[in-house]
Amino acid sequence: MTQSHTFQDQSLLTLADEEYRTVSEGRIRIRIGVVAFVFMLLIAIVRLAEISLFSSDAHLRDLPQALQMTRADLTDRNGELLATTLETYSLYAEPRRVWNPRETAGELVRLRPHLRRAKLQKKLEADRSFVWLERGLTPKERQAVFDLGLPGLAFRKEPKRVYPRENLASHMVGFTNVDMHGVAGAERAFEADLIADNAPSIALSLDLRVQFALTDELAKAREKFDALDANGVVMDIRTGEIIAMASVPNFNPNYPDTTMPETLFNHAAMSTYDLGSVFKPLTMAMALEDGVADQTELFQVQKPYKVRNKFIRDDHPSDVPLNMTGVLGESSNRGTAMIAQRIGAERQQHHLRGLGLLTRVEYELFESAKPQVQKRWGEMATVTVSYGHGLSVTPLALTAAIGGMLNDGVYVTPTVRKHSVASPAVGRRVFRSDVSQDLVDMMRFVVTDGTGRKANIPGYGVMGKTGTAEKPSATGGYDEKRLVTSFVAAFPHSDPRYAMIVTLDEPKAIEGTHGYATAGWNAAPVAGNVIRRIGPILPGARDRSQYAQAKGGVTP
Amino acid sequence: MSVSYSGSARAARRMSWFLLFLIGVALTVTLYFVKTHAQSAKRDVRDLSGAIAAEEAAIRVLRAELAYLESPMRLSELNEGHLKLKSILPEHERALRDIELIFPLTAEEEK
Repeated sequence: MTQSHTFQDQSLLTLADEEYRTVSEGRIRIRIGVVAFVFMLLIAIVRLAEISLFSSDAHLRDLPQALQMTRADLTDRNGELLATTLETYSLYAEPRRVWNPRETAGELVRLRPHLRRAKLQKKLEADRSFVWLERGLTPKERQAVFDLGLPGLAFRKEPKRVYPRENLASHMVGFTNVDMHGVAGAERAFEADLIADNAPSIALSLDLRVQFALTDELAKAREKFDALDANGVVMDIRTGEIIAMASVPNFNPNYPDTTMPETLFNHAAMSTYDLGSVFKPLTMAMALEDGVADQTELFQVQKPYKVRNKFIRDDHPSDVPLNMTGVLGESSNRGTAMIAQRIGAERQQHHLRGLGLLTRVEYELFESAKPQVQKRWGEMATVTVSYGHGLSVTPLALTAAIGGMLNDGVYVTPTVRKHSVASPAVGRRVFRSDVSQDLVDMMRFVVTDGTGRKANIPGYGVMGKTGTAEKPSATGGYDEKRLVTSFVAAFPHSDPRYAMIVTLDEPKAIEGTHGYATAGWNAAPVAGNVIRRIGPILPGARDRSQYAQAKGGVTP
Repeated sequence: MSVSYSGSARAARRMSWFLLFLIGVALTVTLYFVKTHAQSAKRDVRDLSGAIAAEEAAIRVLRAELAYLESPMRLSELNEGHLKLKSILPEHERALRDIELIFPLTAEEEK
């Protein structure tokens, strides 16, 4: 009995164990299933979250390559296109797949004659998987190469910088290298702004119409007077904007590699010259500012004048004493020397520093030469610098200085970016207002009655000053036959707004100049021609008082 | 130690699991459609971006061509060869305020 009871109990226990195990296994399976399900659910949730929340910029990866490699456009102040980026085709070869390098090179040279056959063949024979053959092909050129059906040649789409205005404003715009990095001009100066994501186009300060007029007149003058080069600047003296800056010969920025190296040089900003008498208005302003001379005083310029045992020479000596306006109008070195001695070396340097003539022009472009300053600045240097010898500066630097003098005495640093109303130009006072007004009238006198008469364009109240300087001789001293002639001008007289300069390097005397190659005979008329063309274009260029004067019997 | 469930509790438990399963299936299907839609939208964006880029490239080419054709140097050469038009010079323009000075009213007109 006991045994059977025991057996029964044991059987029940065994059954209970099996049921428990089965249930336990079932539970484990369910738990595994739940874990798997929850895991999958989590994956789904994470994926959903990734799609909806974290993939906002994923589409950028899918943008075409060209969009990411673009470079913002450059325009002039009126939105006229100066530089843009276009898609071009670059030809490359996979030399290992080229069947016959010699034949391939021959066919390519036949189609693209500027390529060198030997160099091309060497590239095609190289044990490499990739070599560039030519970059920047137009769609038409690409098709022509494609039609040759040569194996191993292929094309890659690449952006290329294009300059539709070609030579016009080439020095200011600059150019990029084959990898689209700016290497000169605005392309180099504004590199960071141009390559930024979604960068807007950059408007330069220049006006293409004014640039063309200036370049055209300079090119004509260079040819007419057989000059080595000619350069010029037109500047808005209130904002510092460079409206035009040209140097001829110039170059085509679409082909910078094939151009003559000397044409790449922007003489207006990179060449320093002893500019001669165009410095005299600055000397007059310094004297008036410091109160060491006044307009009523007469200077005895008719007599020989010596400084440190050296005679100061006047090309056309006056027979009578002259006041300051007369000294400027007759461009008397003697009168200017007398005034400079009163100013003294220290004050002269102080003023020149304020006018930015002892340092490079601090504008955006890298093309800006340092002035050449004398190491020993004694009395003789003070005298020679007063009439523009012994201190070599760029035409751009002098234009800015003259502009500062005539802009109510406020110097504004030049800029090649279009002026924004939101950020007004900041200037620094270099001369008093009354001094500035005196110089406005004195420089007007130079054009109406002095050496700059050939630049007198009716209606624009042109002010100016001629400057003729001899170039340093290789044997020491100066060479009388090699001249640099300049004319610095400003207009209108009633409310000066624009300053400009024209500089000719080694102009020659021609028929009609009576054997002279001085600024009054070449640079001044060229500046006049430029003003005649740009006056009607530029806002605020017309002189208000011209017709009023005419009515009052004063010929403008 | 085994846990015993009553009949109704077991049914509720089974229903919960079933509902959870249905939710899982529904989520999976939704995910599939969302993903498909997202991929499709992505493709559309890519196509549109490509089309925009192509249009922009074409516009850039046209702008460059226009700039070349309108280049003052080129127009000047063409003008010299064909039209021989002259520039506007200072003597051709007059300010409005100067008209009275240039063309003064006669005594009769002033009356």
